[in-house]
Amino acid sequence: MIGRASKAASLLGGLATLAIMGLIAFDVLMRYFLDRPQLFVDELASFLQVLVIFGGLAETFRSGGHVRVDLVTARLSGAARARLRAATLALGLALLLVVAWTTAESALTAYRYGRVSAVMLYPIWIPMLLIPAGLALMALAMLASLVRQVRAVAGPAGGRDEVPPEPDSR
Amino acid sequence: MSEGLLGGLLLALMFGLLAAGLEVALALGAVGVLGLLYLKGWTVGLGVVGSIAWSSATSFSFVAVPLFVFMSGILLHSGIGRGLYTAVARWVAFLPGGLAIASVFSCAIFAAVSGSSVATTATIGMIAVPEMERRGYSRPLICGAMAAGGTLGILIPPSIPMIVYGVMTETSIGHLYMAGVVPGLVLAVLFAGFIVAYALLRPEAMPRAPEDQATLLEKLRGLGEVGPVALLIVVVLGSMYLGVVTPTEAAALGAAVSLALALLARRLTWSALGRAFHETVRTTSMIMLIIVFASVFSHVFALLGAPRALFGVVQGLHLPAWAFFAAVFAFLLLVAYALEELSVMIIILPILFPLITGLGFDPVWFGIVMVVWLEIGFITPPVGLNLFVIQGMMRRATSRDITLGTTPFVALLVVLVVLLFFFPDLALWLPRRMAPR
Repeated sequence: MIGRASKAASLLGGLATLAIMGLIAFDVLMRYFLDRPQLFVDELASFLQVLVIFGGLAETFRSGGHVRVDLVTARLSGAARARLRAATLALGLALLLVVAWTTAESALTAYRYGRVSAVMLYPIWIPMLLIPAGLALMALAMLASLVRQVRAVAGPAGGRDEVPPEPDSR
Repeated sequence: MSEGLLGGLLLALMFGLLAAGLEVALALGAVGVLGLLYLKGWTVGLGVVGSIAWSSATSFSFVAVPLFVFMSGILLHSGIGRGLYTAVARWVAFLPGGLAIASVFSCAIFAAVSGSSVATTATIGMIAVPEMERRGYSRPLICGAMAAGGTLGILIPPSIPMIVYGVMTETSIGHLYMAGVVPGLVLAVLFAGFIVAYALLRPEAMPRAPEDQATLLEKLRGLGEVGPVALLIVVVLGSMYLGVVTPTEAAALGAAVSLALALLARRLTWSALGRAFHETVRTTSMIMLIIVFASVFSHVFALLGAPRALFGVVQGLHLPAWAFFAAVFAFLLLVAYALEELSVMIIILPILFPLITGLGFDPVWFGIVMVVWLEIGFITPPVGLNLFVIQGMMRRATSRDITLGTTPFVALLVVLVVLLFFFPDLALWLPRRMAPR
């Protein structure tokens, strides 16, 4: 379930890249050949970029794509590494929840006050809401990983190590 | 709590979290959020986190990052650009070590459409590595030439790390791009010179064959293969150099033309598009999450007055500028052997950049130095991004092959930094001549 949602969000991010590409190329051609710059493009492209970044967070986490330092942990025993990872996953989860909550609140405030973008006067709560949505999805993926990690810690001694990235992720 | 003590505690906490294996982005975020909560309280402090996340995520210059990753993915998975190696090889194969030189030169040419060193190594290496293996080139040499050649991808524009550096330090990305051209060409010549010298000293490492002598007709016919890449170079770099488009727009045009070329050549499959999407989203999320949380973190350090305090300390040392630079670079070299360099750059730039420019170094010049440092990091074992690509392509390459093969190229990169130090105009001459945009 979380896997499907992450993949769907990541695909949306890919499509958003395609849309950004098309919009900006269109703007350049219109400006250069017809002298008709498309003012809406810069803002819309920036908003779509939010989708690229935050849409991809969860799937990137599931495939182990967020950079980590393993200089120290590689030298620990499997059991110690498993416990440490459970702790860092819990901490990361807590951080994501806090940041998701505060960015959701910013989006809500933007909605209440009807804040709009500078040039085209687009309502900005919509792209702003993508930030907490992406963070929350990553938090869910982290929670799933934490559950697997806690099971590994409590499980048979031979299997006590850091859990690998989700098998269905690329 | 005094500002110095708080800063020290936060730094210690960050190193602790990094060592514990928390994701780099989240370690920065945790420390930044804690700092803001302590300094500004729950409502104001967290509000700052929200506005920093929004402003870094919507920066228009960063839009170039997904676009260039996407373009590289399309080129790699559709196979456009693969003909480049064969064409270049026909022209330089007569030289000692010709196939290795062809790898370096075709990487240099492909670098002019690729913003990433991994994509450059993967695209050219896919043809070049089997070719050199078949001919019986020594494994360390293949590893070294291919990995090092690929790093030209980030020095010769376009360049994803230059975009990150430019946005973080408010340096013109267009100027950074142009500043990378001459050092990139110098580096390609240094690499090729080393290969020739090595081939003359140890001919058995790079056996020659009669088919190295291509006829003029074959050479000219090969140029047709270069067409798509040449077109892309004009679209991406030409338009920018003339001041017609911004770097972000050049990225969009390049991606659009690559997609069109792949469609025209009937080489764009759904699976290629899917993989390009996946790589784009993965790379962008990874880099941008680090940037968002690094901005929160450096905001806290700016609130504490840390950059100014550090500058005072450095000034108090009364070191000559060259000694300070040498010390910084020596430290960075050590780091290059241990950590993932792009994230290190994002973490230390807010602290290092004011120091370096405060001592009178040029921001564009320092950007080029940082990129050369990243190149070193990408080919230093055990954790160099390019080395993973090479290992994927050469199953039989041992870590000894890789270490042996890359070390001379690391030395040449350090030579380039020394050259840049004594002749900063290597980097700064071209940007001065560029049309303003």
